[in-house]
Amino acid sequence: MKPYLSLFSAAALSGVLALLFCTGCSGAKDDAANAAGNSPEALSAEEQAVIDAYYAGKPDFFTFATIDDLPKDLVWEDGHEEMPFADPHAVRGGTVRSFMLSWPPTLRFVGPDANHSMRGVFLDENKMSLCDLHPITRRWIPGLATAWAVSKDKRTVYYRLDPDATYSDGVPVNADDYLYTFYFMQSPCINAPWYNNWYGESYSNITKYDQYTISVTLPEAKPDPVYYTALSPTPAHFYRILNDKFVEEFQWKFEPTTGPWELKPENMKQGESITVTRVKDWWANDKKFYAHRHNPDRRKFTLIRDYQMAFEAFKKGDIDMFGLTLPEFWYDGTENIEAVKKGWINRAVYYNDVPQATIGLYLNRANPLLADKLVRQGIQFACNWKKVMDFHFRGDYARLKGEVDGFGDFDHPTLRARTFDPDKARALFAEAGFDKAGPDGVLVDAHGRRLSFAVSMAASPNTKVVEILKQEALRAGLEFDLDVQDPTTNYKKTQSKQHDIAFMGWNVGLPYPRFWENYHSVNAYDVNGKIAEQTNNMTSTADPELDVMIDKYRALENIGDMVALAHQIEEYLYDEASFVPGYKMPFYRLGYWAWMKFPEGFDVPLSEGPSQYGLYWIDQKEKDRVMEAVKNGTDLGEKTEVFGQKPE
Amino acid sequence: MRLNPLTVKKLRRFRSIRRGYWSLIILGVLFVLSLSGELLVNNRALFISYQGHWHFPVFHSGIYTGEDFGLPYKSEAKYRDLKAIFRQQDAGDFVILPIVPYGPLEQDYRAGEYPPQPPSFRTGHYLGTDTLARDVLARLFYGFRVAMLFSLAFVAISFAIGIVTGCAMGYFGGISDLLGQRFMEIWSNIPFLYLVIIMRSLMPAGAGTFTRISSLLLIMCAFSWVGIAYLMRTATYREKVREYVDASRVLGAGTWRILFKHILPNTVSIVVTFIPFTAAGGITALTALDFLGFGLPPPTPSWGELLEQGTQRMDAPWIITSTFVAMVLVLTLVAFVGEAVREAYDPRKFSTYK
Repeated sequence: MKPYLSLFSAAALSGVLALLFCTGCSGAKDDAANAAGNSPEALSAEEQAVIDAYYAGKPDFFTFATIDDLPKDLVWEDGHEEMPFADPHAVRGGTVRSFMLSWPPTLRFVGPDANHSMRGVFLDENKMSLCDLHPITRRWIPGLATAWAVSKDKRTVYYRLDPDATYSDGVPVNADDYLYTFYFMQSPCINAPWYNNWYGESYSNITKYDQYTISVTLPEAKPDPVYYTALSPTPAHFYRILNDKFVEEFQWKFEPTTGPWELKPENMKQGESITVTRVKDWWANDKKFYAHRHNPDRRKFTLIRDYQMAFEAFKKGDIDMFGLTLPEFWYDGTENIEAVKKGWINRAVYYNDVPQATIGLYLNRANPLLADKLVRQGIQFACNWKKVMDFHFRGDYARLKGEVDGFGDFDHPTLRARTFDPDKARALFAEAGFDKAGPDGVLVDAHGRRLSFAVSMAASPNTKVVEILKQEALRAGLEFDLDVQDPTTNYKKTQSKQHDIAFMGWNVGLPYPRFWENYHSVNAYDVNGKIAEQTNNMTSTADPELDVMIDKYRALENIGDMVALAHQIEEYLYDEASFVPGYKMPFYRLGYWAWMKFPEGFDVPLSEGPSQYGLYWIDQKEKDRVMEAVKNGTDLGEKTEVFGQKPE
Repeated sequence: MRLNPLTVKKLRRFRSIRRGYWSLIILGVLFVLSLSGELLVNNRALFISYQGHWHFPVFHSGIYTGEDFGLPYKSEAKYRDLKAIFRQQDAGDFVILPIVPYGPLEQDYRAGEYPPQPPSFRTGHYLGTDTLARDVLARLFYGFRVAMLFSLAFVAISFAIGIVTGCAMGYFGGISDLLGQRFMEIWSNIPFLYLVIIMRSLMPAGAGTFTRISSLLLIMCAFSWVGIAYLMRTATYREKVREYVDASRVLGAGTWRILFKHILPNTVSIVVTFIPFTAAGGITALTALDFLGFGLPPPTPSWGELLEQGTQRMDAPWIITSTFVAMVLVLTLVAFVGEAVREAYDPRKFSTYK
């Protein structure tokens, strides 16, 4: 299921609007300056003057201090007590062959169309930030910074930059690139209002102490401000002075990266394949947490426009690894094929531990029938998720606990989503006035209103989930009408809150659950009492009592208090019953040719796929052996492994 | 009723073309069968004898709940289970089910079996199940009915619009003809698929299945009448200058009488030959739209949706095979009928194809 919205999709959707409002950009007169944009030359004095002028215009935001201004009582951390998680046996080299379903519409990091499905590989996974989460302990480890310190008021984080860090074009990374990130992200020239807003509103200051020391300040205190301040640098020598030609000019230019992979123009075979290559002498090669990772020399993505075709290519051996999370690939697709039986293709289930997207049914309380709490509670009992789990997902997926799942202590210790019970559902519906069955078995009330709701969703294999729910709901006298749309139309419809019930999921992020986006009244109705569009409040929930709790929760600085209040809010939401929790995927499943090697534990808990932390490698000798076995039909022994176990 | 001797001749000619004639009969029988499909393919029982009382669930306007037959649930009785229970109790109660005891929307999940399941006489899924555990035969059967009704309505509406517009343009001529032609030129350049997509996206969430299907039908009709109108326009132009038209005008016949009583019967034969082919076109267009996901709203039984499932699940060949065979069969029958109609209307008796 992919209707999740990430930070980037929100940015890209709003990006289109920006075309109309591109004011304040310098004109094309800066073309001369930009012509040099490809060469790794430092900014000229004139260019630097333009950027300095921008900084000078916002003296509260951009501060230039000296190293003596650094507070003396800071407690510096450097994550040295954490253990490396990569396998020292990993071998460098080789090409890992993969596929992509569509050609990326642009290589730009921001702006129109930048939210495509390949951006993770080419851009996001490849951009390092100041600090990283240790994927096992979830504590901070160094990235582009070697040490960091959090101020007492928990608003400011100080960073010491790693002087070794360079971009893929060899230019060193220094403090100016972090200041430039704000110049870049706040500029209307990039046509990305979401980024403009985020980098304008979510930070209040960045200070440069010397070439390798900076601090970043937030407008409000946060329990763990490193989450928000671990920025990525933006190469000033690449983008230089922005102008209103940014969108076209950088359409097909690959930003020099701090990460392990770079995309050279000669490795883009239009309409055929894109290959990223490992940066020569990558600066982090021997760093404690980056050694033995991202091992292949090349990652080749061949364009295969159909998922089934890609699967066939994998079975043939033209693709090295293939995600088998969907049951049809794991069971029907690979269970009984020769390559798996004879151990040429191995399979693995990896139970990871990541916050779970809130997939389920969002009941829109703006609908007069759904405004009734009894009806909503009845619907909770009328949804047979167990059948969905048992048959559609073959007992592999698990039921979502509630609004919050996968956040450790924040998960409610006892509350669990209601299970299917048509009798309880009917009792609640009867209490709400729906006590007679119509000729088709759907309940009606005294006014003749039928207990029937449209379920809006994006077209995907998961339409089947709702079809199963539909058949089962009728057992409780409830009717679901399917309203299946293509993803963009469905997104528009649900974002303007025109749905009765929306079947979707929001991607959630660490460090702790957020309630404001989904349940605060400002995201349900605007000041004029009109439905608020383009917000995450899909249930149109607007309870003054809940608002008070959410506001208080947002202001808390102590984790213990937050956990306690989160549990209260979860109980309140459980009673309101506006969200029918669906399912979660507590694992990923992978098929890989036997020459692909993985660490002993296969992957790390925070990983959502093998490429995220890049712990695998290619065994060239093994590859020859397996190819030989395929040729001769030799049986190498079936290998299907399970790492970890299904959570409760 | 006395038929025009020319028409009688054409009918006789049609009958003499055995292939087309028998195709029409087979198609007609299939269509009539599908109209009474609830008696043949259905998960509702035909007849129940329970404690001395007779029930006919198929003909019942409401539903019988489980409680009506002494079972502990308030939703519709599960008749297949009921049959097994009655047999076990052996108390003289019995249930008669249709030949294929599955409905087109019903998901038949069974413990330990994951859909799609191959054809099996044990379970009564003679053509297997699809990816949602629904009976493929039932979906094909009702999909046929939907496709036939849809394409008949499609033919009727688009021909009605096309004939009326074409006749009017040809008969009145002049400025109305000129404007009409320009309008048709512009109209036929509007991309039809985009309109279907836009219509779908504008459909409010609460719109029922009927609204969705009929709006799709109307959009398809709105773009298919143009060809018919062009044909009728030319034919009418030709006919209106004939002497019999002048004669009836002299006799004082009004415009409408001339148009419908005199010109239409003489021109309509041109478009009649197009009916079977347009019907086949309607079926394929609907299937194609369904295949793309822009056709009938789920879970309406549809061939396009089955084809789509079949191409996605090559490991379940019974889905694609049965749909493909059914489709080829029906389209071939329609084509045979069309060919025969065309030949029957052909004034040259001994034409040969080269």
